Amino acid sequence: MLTPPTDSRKALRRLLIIIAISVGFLIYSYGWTITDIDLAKPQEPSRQEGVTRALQELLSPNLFDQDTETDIFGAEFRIGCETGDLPAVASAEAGQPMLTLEPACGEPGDRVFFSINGLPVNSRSGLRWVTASGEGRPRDVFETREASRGRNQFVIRSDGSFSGYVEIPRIVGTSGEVHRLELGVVVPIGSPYPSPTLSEVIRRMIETIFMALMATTISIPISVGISFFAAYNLMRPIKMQLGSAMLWLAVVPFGYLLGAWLLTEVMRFTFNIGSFHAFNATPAVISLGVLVGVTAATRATSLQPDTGLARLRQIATRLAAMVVVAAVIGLVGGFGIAGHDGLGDLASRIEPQGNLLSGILNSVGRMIGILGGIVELATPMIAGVIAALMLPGLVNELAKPILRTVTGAVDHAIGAVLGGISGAFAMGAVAAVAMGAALLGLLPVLVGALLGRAAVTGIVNHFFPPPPVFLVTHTGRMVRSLVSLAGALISGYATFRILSVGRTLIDGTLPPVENGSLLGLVTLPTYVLTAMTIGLVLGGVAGGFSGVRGSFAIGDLLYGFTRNILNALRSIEPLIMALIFVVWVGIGPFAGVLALTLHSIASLGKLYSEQIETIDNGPIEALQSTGANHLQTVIYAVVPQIVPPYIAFTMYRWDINVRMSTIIGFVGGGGIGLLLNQYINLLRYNDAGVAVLAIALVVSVLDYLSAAIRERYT
Amino acid sequence: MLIIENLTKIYDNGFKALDNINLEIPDGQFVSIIGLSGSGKSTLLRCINRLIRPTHGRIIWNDTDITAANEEDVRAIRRRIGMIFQQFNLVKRSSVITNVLQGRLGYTNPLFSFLNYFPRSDRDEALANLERVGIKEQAYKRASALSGGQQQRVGIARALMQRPELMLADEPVASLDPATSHSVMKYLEILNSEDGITVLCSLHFLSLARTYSDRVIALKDGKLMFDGGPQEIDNARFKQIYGEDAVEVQIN
Ligand SMILES: Nc1ncnc2c1ncn2[C@@H]1O[C@H](COP(=O)(O)OP(=O)(O)O)[C@@H](O)[C@H]1O
Ligand SMILES: [Mg+2]
Repeated sequence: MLTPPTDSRKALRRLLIIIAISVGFLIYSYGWTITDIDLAKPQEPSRQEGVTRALQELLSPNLFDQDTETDIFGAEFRIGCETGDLPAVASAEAGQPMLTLEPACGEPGDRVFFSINGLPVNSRSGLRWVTASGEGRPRDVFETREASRGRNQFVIRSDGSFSGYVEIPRIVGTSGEVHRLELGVVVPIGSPYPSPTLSEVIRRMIETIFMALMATTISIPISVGISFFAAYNLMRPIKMQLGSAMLWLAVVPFGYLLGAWLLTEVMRFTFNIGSFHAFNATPAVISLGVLVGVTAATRATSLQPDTGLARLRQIATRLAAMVVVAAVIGLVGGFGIAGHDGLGDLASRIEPQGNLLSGILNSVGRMIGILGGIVELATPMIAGVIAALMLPGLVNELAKPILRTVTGAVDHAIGAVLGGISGAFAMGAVAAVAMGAALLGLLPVLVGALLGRAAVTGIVNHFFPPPPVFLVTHTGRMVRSLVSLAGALISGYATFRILSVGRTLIDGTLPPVENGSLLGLVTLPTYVLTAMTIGLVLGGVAGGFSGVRGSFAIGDLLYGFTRNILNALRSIEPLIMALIFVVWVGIGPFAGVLALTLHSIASLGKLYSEQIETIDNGPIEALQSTGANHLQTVIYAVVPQIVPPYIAFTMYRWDINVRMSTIIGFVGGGGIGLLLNQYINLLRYNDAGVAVLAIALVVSVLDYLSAAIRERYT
Repeated sequence: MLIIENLTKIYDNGFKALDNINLEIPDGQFVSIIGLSGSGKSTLLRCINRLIRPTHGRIIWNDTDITAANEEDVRAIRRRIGMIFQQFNLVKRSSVITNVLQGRLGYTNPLFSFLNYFPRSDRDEALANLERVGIKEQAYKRASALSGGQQQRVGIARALMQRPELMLADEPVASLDPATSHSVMKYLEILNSEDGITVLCSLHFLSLARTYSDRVIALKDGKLMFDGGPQEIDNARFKQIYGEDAVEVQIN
């Protein structure tokens, strides 16, 4: 029921408004002070002069140069009119300008009238008095109508004439000598050509554009991949059986080790085939043939009745896929190295050296050589990752019948074992990371809290099974989440204490690296072992109480993880990232490319995933109803829908990257920014003007292009 | 034979969309499901292919318990159940033939889907199915370039690629004009009579149900109100299903 406000309420409200306004005013005036706003400063004459000069030079960019020569026109003059003849007036060739003096003799201190016609219009000139001994001194002009440009520099009139009075220098003892007045006229020869500044700016601008291009193109595939994980509508429905999830975590490390050990050989082998180092076609062809055969054999249908044979085929497919992927990557790397050598060879045989073709061959060879080198260097790691991703699936395939049917005590026992192992591995992994820096020490605390939450939730759900969703009351949900939160806090705090994270945070002492041994098998830092024990206990409790039958929202987890990382990355400006990359790879465009790439990945990942979230859900539902799996649904129902917005956003990002790459040089990231920064520091504003002009030009052209392309796709 | 026992669906917000439905549908029947908007028709159809998980009850189809199946079994079951939708749910930017081929995805190795590869036999079958619904010449156009009726026929061809034994149609003609509606319904009728596919089709209008179905099921507020032959629905029944103020209209 609405009641009209009483008078006292009205008064109170007014008072509150007045207080709010006064407080707002105070805050605002504080802001005025700390940002140093001072309107007197821009009006100080010296500052105005400075800014005028800077702007003037910026707006007179040093774009073109032209070679010049100085034409000298001379006329002789006798000091003292009474002795001897007047100097002979040089007879000029027809049509040539001639300097005349009137009179042709005089005393020091006299003013003599000079005139000349037919000079190049508007050219710069200077006057010199040359004594008999050949000593020259610049002369000023009196009563001239010509513009003066600086001291003793004159601009010829627009009719090509120049006249005025010069004073005969007062030099003692020159009487009777013949002196000369010389007019030097600077005339351009040849045509104007781009100034060295302009060439340098163009070179750096190309570098800049390529920085943006590299950063954008490298980030596209990565952010496309990430965007699927950051799209809520795709990830939310993905669930996994709890047991499978735990098994997955428990097997990943073994997968990595096994892969690094087994697949490395496969990759090395194919690498050598590719790079022709140990080229022996027969075994290579046979083994590849076998792989293709195995894949073909498993191809027929994807879904089969749940028989032992079908399961074996599934496992064989996965094994084959694993080996094929490793082999293909190895082969690509090998061909990369071979291609690099081959193209380098070819380039070196081209005559003359350093022409366009050999240049192209060299750059292409260099690029694929680097790619091949990455494969060669990272072989064990790539192999490990491939296996770490695929082995758990394989083990899951084997364990599925058990995980699906176990009940009662066995269920909980398996849950405890798997939960313990995966908890230990999870904690071990983050603890290993945590040994790197003080702040990272919070990671095990976070994971410990999550595991503790899972454990407490498991216990609560075991003794008080949750009702169906639609029967959940508000209070019930509150109580459950409060209890879970308490579990998280307690276990987080316990982890904090046990691992002495406080000490690490306060005085920055990293955990000691003294080693202990795990069951006498591997030696690990005690810090990691302690963390693993915590994980073992918490994970064991969680898994033991919840069992393996439940469902685990793996999609939610991946979504949250991806989103948070993207958001964190996006909040760091590329300029700051560039600072770190400059420390890592040195000043230059590579650092800029890395910084822009990282930022683009975060930004595009977010933009892309938002596009996925707005797509039409109908086709997804339709494909699901045909029996397509998640992957197929994404490929056929999601991908076609997101191509146009992805192109639009990529253009948008490329646009931003060009802008960013023009300034990333200010922190050492290469490109035009680096050059502009140098010019500004050297107060060479004429040159800086060229760079600014180039930036404005390129940015607006790209702005227009990207808008035009975006238009077509949205 | 499709047997639905005590089927109840309560949505997460507590709304009871289906209330203890019991049905037995023999193979080869053409069944219409009628009822007002919000009466639970879509929910019922979606429970059958497990796009929605029922809260209670069982659905047994050819001796398989759909409600108890795990993820992979569900996919195997769905392969045999075609579905067409009111909004057609085609991938608009893809070609017609691609849309049709997608009906075979359940039978295709997911690795081949990366390469957009379908066996030759599937391609031939897709063209044959398009020919069956009379739009073979549109095969390489974009789906968005087709009219509504043609798009729904693409939807039928896509479902046919599954070689279904059961066809679910969720208001397949609600977005179409009367003439087109009849042509689409005729195709469903042909599938039912020639291929012996069981059809479960939800419809807004009783007149369409009367024309095409062997049996009519009526839902109201999630409850089964009527189950019988189309001619058994007299005026009193009609008002029971659609409310006192409703008047039956003819679609022709
Ligand atoms: N995801 C959902 N969450 C909550 N309520 C829903 C959801 N989907 C449908 N409903 C409700 O269930 C009822 C039945 O919906 P539906 O089966 O779509 O009816 P029909 O297809 O007959 O129009 C409607 O009242 C609708 O609002
Ligand atoms: Mg509906």
